Amino acid sequence: MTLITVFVPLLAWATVMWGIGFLPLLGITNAISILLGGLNPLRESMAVLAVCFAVIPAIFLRCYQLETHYERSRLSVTFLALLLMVLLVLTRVQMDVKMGVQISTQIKAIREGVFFPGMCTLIIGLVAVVGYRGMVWQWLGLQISVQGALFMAVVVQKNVFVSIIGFVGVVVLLQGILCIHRILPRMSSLMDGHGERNRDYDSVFHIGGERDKQ
Amino acid sequence: MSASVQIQITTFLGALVLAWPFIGALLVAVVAVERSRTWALWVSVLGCFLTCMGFIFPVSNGLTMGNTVATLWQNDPIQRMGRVLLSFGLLLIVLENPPLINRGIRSLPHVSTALSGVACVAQNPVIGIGILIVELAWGIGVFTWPAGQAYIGWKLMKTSFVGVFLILCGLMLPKESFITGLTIACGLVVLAGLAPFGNSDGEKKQLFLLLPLATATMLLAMRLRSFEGEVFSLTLVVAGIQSIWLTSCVGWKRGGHLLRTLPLALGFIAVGVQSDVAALLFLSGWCFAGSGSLEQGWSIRALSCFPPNAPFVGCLLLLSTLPDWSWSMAALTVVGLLFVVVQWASDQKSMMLTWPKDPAGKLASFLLVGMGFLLPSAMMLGVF
Repeated sequence: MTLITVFVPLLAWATVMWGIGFLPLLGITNAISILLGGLNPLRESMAVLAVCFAVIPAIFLRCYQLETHYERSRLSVTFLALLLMVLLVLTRVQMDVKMGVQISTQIKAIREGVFFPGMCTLIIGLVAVVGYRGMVWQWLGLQISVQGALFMAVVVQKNVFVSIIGFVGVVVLLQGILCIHRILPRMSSLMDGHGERNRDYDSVFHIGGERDKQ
Repeated sequence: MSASVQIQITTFLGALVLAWPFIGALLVAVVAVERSRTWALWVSVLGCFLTCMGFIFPVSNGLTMGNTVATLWQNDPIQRMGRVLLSFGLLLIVLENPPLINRGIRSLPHVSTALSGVACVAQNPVIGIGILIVELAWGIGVFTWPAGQAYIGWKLMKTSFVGVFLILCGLMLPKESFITGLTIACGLVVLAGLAPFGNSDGEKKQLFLLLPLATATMLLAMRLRSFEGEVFSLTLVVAGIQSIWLTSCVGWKRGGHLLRTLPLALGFIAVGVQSDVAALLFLSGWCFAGSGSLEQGWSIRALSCFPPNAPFVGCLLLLSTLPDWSWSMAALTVVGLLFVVVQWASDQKSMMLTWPKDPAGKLASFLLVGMGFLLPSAMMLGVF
């Protein structure tokens, strides 16, 4: 397990805690950790997908006024995500690995510990989806889960999973874009005559912005 | 008739059963609004006939175009019966609803029935899950597209994709470990929309998607059970019992929408204890119970497992096998179910045993009673 692989769940956790500003970073780190495992067409395409799924939402959301209400559950969601992450890493030790005749790719991956960053990232994303009430935060959670699932699919090295997860990523991305476009107001409606942002502007791009507001 | 001709005819019939709802969806979407309901009715009646024929004359096992049929699609009687239930569920949806203007929503029950049918027969259950995701994506897209519907579509997507991710995560883990069984079972339960994960706004049109989706999810759960171990079964049973208790605790005045998923909860318990015929009986309750609104007495009676409907027979069958599996689970199920039944029986109006006046109600009541007799008889004759 490379050092950069450890950063994937940590960045996912930071995204859940602070906002979408960390998502592109998570995608790029994920792509690097996928590529570091070896270069082949499957890994390269997965790395491209990981970057696309992380960067496109961040660019897209720049055009919209995001939900500004304070997420009351933010602290509990963050701690729950952290707790689950620790639990999963501990479970790795307890996992019943069968000493069969032929050891599968998954069991090898678990022994080497490369499987769990992906799983931790996926679970952190799901905690965000379930715990947060704001739509953008929930979309963010789904995007984090896609990143984790991509990582797992690359480790398992089965084409069927790779294609399914690629499709799921595209659906989550497009559906999120459609819903946000329909529900959230455009940023242009908040601009004053000189093309500058109104003072009301506050978003999850601005790290700690909502906390400062309080 | 020579063996090869017989193989070719049955294979063609089997393929037609799978392809027909797609053709039907196209026809229903293309025709004008005024004629769409008549077309949808004919298409679904023909679909029911084809699935019944497909059940009676299964694909003969032999060589077709160099492949054995067994390698083409899953062909066991339980899955074939599941497709029969799906097609009759589609017919009831068409009968119950007036003609719809939106082409996408109008053809959605046909598309989702078709994709659910294909998902059930895929040789690899992982591909089956993939097809269910396609179905989900299509359904959510159709719901979200019209103006003002985005939030409803988003709520549906959020819950279902949590289930999808859990299932995918579990399938990628090594088989027969504790986490694998737990994750896949939780994912299936969330994807099927078991209480409290189902739609809480009681949006009637969401059943166009959820009815076939949950049916296919349960049929896939039966196939995944064979190689996911003990924890998988236990999680399904526990999830089913908690859903029953939740339905009974919330009460009938506030929990009307929870009662709609009661047959699913019982069905998952049946899948957990390997009583597939009981699961099919509960699935008939899920597929034929209509929208489950309080005005439909027949629907409420079917959902709360009143005799002589199929879910009641399913309960008898389930309770004959559940004590062998675990006494405590059996006791919890019976007590929870009794609470539900007592609560709904107190509503005298819906419990009066009257023959429904609408055609959908008449057909559904006939099917519910018919399946209650037919499935156990077929089991005794050794079909399943």
